[in-house]
Amino acid sequence: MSIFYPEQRPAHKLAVIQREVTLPVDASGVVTVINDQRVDVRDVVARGLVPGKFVVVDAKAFFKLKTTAEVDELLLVSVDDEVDELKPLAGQNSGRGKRLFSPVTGRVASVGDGLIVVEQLNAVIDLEAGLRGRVTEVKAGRGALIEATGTQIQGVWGNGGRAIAVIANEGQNPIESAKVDMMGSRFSSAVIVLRRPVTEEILEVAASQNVAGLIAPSMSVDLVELAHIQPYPVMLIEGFGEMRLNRAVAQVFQDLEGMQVTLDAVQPEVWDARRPEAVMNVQPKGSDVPARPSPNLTLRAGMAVRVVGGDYSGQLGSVVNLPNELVLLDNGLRVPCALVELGGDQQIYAPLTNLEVIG
Amino acid sequence: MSILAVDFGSVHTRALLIDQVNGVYQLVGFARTRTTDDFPVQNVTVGLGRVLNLLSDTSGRNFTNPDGRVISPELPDRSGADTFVVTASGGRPLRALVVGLMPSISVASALKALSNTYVTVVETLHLADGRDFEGRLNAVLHAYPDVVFIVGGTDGGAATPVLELLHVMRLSLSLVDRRRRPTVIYAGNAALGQDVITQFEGVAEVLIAENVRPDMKNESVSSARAMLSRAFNRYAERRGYGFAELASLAPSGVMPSARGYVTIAGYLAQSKRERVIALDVGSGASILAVAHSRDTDFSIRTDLGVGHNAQSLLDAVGIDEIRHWLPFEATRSEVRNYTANKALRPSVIPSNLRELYLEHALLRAAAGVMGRSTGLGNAPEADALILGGAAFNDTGNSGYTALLGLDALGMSGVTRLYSDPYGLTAALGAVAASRSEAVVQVLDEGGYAELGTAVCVSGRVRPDKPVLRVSLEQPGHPIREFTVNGGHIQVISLGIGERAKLKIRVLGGGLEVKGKRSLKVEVMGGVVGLILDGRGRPLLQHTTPTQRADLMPRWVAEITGDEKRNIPAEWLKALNEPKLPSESSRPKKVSRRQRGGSGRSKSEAVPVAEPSDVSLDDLRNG
Repeated sequence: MSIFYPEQRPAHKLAVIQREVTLPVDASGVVTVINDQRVDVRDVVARGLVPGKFVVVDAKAFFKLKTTAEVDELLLVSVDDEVDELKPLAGQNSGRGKRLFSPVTGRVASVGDGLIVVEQLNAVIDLEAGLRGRVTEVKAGRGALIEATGTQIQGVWGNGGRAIAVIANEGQNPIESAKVDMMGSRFSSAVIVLRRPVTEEILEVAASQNVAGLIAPSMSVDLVELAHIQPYPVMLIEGFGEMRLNRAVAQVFQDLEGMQVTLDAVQPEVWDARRPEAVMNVQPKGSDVPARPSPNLTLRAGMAVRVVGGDYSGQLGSVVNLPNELVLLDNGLRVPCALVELGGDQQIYAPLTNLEVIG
Repeated sequence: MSILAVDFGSVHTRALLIDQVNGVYQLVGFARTRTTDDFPVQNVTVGLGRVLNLLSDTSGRNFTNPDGRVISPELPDRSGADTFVVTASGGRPLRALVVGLMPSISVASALKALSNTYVTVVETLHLADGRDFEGRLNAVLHAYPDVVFIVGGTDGGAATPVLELLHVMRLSLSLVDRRRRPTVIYAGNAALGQDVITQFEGVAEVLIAENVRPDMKNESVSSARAMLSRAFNRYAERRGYGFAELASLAPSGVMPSARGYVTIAGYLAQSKRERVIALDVGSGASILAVAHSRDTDFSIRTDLGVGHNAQSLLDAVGIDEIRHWLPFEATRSEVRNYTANKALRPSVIPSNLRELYLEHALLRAAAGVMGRSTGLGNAPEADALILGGAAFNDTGNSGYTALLGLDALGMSGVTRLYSDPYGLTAALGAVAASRSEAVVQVLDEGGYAELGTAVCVSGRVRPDKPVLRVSLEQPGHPIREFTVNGGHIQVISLGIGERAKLKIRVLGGGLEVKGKRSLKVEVMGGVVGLILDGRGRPLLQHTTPTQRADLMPRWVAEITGDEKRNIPAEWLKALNEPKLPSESSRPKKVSRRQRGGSGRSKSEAVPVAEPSDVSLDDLRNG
């Protein structure tokens, strides 16, 4: 078989994490860190603004002037000035006579041709590093690449939220039972890890319990709209449907119970390479060597993989071998496959494209 | 004079080597790898390096310098290639904002000019758009265009309305962050070209094209399209993921792959005086070119695909259109979950029977939309059909590919079928202008995989009753006779390069082939052979899942020669649609301060597959 570069979706207990933190695509801003700078979880790496509504004020018409030069003489503001609603934009400096007031609070975006454009300002976005590490690349106006050591679990879907809080695994007592315990639930202000699919009821209870975030294997796509309006981030690790969390990944979260996690539930956009993920700073112990990202990783026997799609979706296994010939699947397709051993000595042929190397 | 062509799709990066063998251009090498615009690389040039290494392995030739640059022209030791071209269909399409005077005149011409490249029209401004100055300014600033396409006015016509629109555009673009300012293409009243350059001086880069509507009667979009190609290349340089480096590596920059479909279908139609259809349903975009001897209609949809854009495909066609192609009962949630997962993991292929039918239902539905958008109707005829893209070609069985092609557009009549598993169409389109002899020779030398010829009967057939009687005559062979029954496909062995004369008689009322009851045609063979399709057209009209469960697996078995994969009886039981989250239970906007339960009963446990009991360390240690 020729070389195959597989999909990678890390589920690593200890890895070198290269995390790109950037402002939303529609925001403009400034980066507040420099290369090689050490940052902590809550440090702001960039500040930005999503453009607001632009309000055009026709000063020339307001003052019934003939030329734009006459408007220039009356201007009381210049570009980039911040103005409050009803602050004068133009008029006599003395305060006498006719004056033109700003209709909105905002920033003067443009002055010229007899027009004053005021941009209404949205709230400033403070972009936090999300983990303790070192800045390895500054992305001008957008954010930074941060390198750190720790646990990294990538998901496939998020509702766009982001939180930094401690991990609480659901355990034996389902989250639904917490709703009768109105105060002081262990789920309050924590990122909850579920091993089972999200339901409508779970979303509601999680909101009522004031959780900081929700990590789950799957949910029905019918719940997307509901997940979007929750005040906490939701990340799915396997996808849409009714897949359960694999015990190996669940164990990683179990081992990290009570530790601080950054949950960045990035909502996947069609042409955006960012993925939702949960990252935790963990220091190596003894002889542990954190795994480094491997851009040129090729699929080989012995690799740990996740099977995606089909009857074994979400199961982890290891590659046994890579046959040279196309394999006839039960559905009639003939495709390049790997022989994968799942738990319990079960072996299956899985299409190469349906394997994700987990680290 | 060798040609190295690399095409960057949403999922695959393909490299082709075309060279002269005994003085004739042929496809001599091919390699494919995953496109590397995703985690952890996010740089398409990494995929370029990989695919060229794979091509080196198969061709025995080296294509790059030690610094990774492509060697061009070819060196005496046969390393490198004389011509290196790059095409792309992958990644986010160009975001275009169209500015014109009248929606039915100049704006319509602008949209036509935009239709042969990967463009999403994010906003349209015109005199009748109902917006004031401020509304237009905000529309521009919140559309985040990569290109602004300004049209309007006939040559020498009224200037004032165009100048007013230019004024708002200049102010709007001056407010955009300099790093994000779009390229402006002006293709309006030629007399205003210099005014446009002056207006945007210091604000945005301007490309001037010929007027798309020089007068009220004529339309001219070729010059504007040339400028759009330049803008596409500039956008490629800006959009990240290594496209800037890629654009600098190829002398002609990064060209849109879609151009090839239009060019090649048009060329074949002209040279053979035939009707040729070229169809590619990709992960993120779909292309359909319908070429006649005189002109070519085409459609590029950047919102329809079976991977990245599976979700928007489903939004466009609706659940019932997908169910129409399923031989089993499926809930709305199942279809939606599958589609959403495809969008999340576009390269994943169906690995069980249920997923396979869902996948091919998406493919057939996408092709249906494309067909309708070019006015093909639901049982079109063509002399040749070319199938591009992995969705058609990665079945591992040419018969399956042929079946998908026939079903996708519901082809009727007599059609030669070709598949393009190598992405040859994009490559040939990219060199058509500079190396036309290569295009002609590669196509003549069988660059496409010849699947065979399909004879498809139209009309409503009676199941298992004779619908076609065909006699096949080949020089040096006895005449063979075949009878095809309604609802069946029969494949006759007729190899690549073989030709045969057919006498076709249509049996049964209301049926025809190419509008006739009896006809004689010459057909060519292929890897599949002669396909006698007695299923009737339109396909699967007014059928139930139970009927489709009988028909669809049989058709696959008949055309592939594989065993029939029956649909389990339990798949045909009626299903209850899961309840959608009710309006009343949705939080208006749940605040973190709100506490307390909803009073609803606990959900019942959902039966789900138990995943394996194995630790990550166990797995990593093999």
